[in-house]
Amino acid sequence: MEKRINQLSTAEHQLEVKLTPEEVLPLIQAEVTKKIATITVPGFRKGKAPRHVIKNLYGDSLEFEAADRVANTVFWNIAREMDLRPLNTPGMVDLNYQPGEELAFKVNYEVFPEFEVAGYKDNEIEVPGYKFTDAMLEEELQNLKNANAELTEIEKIEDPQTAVIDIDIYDSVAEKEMGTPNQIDVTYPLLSKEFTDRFTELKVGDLIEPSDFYQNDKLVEGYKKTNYKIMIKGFKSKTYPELNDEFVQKISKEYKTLDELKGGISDYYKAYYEDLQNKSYSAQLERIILEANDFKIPKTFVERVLEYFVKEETDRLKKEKKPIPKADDLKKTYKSYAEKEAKWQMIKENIIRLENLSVTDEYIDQLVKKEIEKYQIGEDVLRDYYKGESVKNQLVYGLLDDFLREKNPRKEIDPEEFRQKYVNKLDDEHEHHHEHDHEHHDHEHHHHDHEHGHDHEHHHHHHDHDHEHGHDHGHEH
Amino acid sequence: MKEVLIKPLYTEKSVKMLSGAKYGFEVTWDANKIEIAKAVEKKFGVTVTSVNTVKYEGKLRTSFRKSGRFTGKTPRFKKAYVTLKQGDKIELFEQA
Repeated sequence: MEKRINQLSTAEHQLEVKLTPEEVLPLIQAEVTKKIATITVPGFRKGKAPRHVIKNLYGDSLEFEAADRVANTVFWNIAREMDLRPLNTPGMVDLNYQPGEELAFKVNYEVFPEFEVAGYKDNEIEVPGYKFTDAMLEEELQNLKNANAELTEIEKIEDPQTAVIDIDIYDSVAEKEMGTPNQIDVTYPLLSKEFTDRFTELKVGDLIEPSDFYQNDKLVEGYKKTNYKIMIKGFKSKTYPELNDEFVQKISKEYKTLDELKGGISDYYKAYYEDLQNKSYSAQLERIILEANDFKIPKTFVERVLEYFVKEETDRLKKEKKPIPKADDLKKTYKSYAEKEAKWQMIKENIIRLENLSVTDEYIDQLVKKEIEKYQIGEDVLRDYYKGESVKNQLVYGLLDDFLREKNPRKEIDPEEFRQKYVNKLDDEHEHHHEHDHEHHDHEHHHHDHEHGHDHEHHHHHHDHDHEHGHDHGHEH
Repeated sequence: MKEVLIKPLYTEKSVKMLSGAKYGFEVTWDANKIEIAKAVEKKFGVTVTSVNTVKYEGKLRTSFRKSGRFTGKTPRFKKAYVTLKQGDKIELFEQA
């Protein structure tokens, strides 16, 4: 077999292959045999018609068809062997074959342009140095106490700090309640100070003007166009549970003692922050390397990435049964993101090439040894899985990730400084990307109000509305 | 003289029988073995040593149409397997 790679341009290559008649004949015969097994001729069972009968019916067309498939298989074998990594779907531009003679073909395909990647080593990557403090632990415990507090009905508020007020919206023209009961307490952030100061003076049946109730001007503006007031329906007093082992056992199946719970919360936050830092690190590194390299990205590759995004988005919307925008509109939305992704992909491919990163059998063996305990399958099955082409590709990217992390040390800086330095800047730069640029804004928000995996069983759900009732009001009008 | 042979049979079974110098034909319903032998000898210039015949009655087929149920029959036909004298061949089958 003769094979030659012609460089048509920096991004387009051509593979030229010639197979001698002796090499090609068995391959063609095997393909023809496969095809014959699927042909049905009247008077014969499927695949049972003799070869000469088929030959009479189809002539040489079976062999030409087989030659096409043989060329395809041979191309992909060579591509694997020579690690060609075609970017697009390769196109057969020339195929010469006559039964009994040699097979010659040419295939054009695009490749990642080879170039020297700049600035992918020795960068100091700044990440926000989040720390889990005792104050945050206290806040978490307080939230737990709050969520599990018991409520008792009272006539009048004596201690505003432990009071909960039942309210409803009252239509002063129709003279009736709207039937949208809610509960608020002194910590509710939208309340005006004048109102919270009056807690002890409130009586059941009092009607409060929205301007006295809310401190939010926009909300008050909204109320002005309506006849709504806020009606006081009743009062309750919160009794907080005592923080002890018994309380922990009551709210959690996982933890038995208070110390264990504290440890659990702390571990959860540490893992959460670690994750945030990792995401932040990857995003920063990607940004720095992208900025350091400027080159032309092959259009077909961008188009391919774009099509992938559009397909992914369409599938997601289909799954969620949401209306699907036109493909062209989606393409417009995703274009700049696809360009960035295509560029990043090309840089990564070139770093892999420049640094000779490859998945060796020894590496897979080590990986299998490490992972075998996790999966209850045979060692050979796992090894075969890792040696699969697509998994191997993923492993190379894993190696690249490790390499980049090793060569670009991370430096923790004050989270606020980080926010000032990067997040606000990124917000400005990528404003139009927000809907899909997950990696970039995942790390921008410093959440404290997420659920953690302690499987708390809230026995008293009447506090669940704490963070919601403000919105409910807003939407009513 | 009426035409006895309708068409050669070229099926999985008849192809297998070729090795025993037996050739299959579809023949007219009322043709007898003597007529079949003579017809083959005349048409292909060979010597027939024996003839086996088999008759197939048409099968009932029912289809449901707008106008109601419609029942009919597939055509009946007769097959003949002709054995030739050793060394004789019919080119038509060999070419196929």
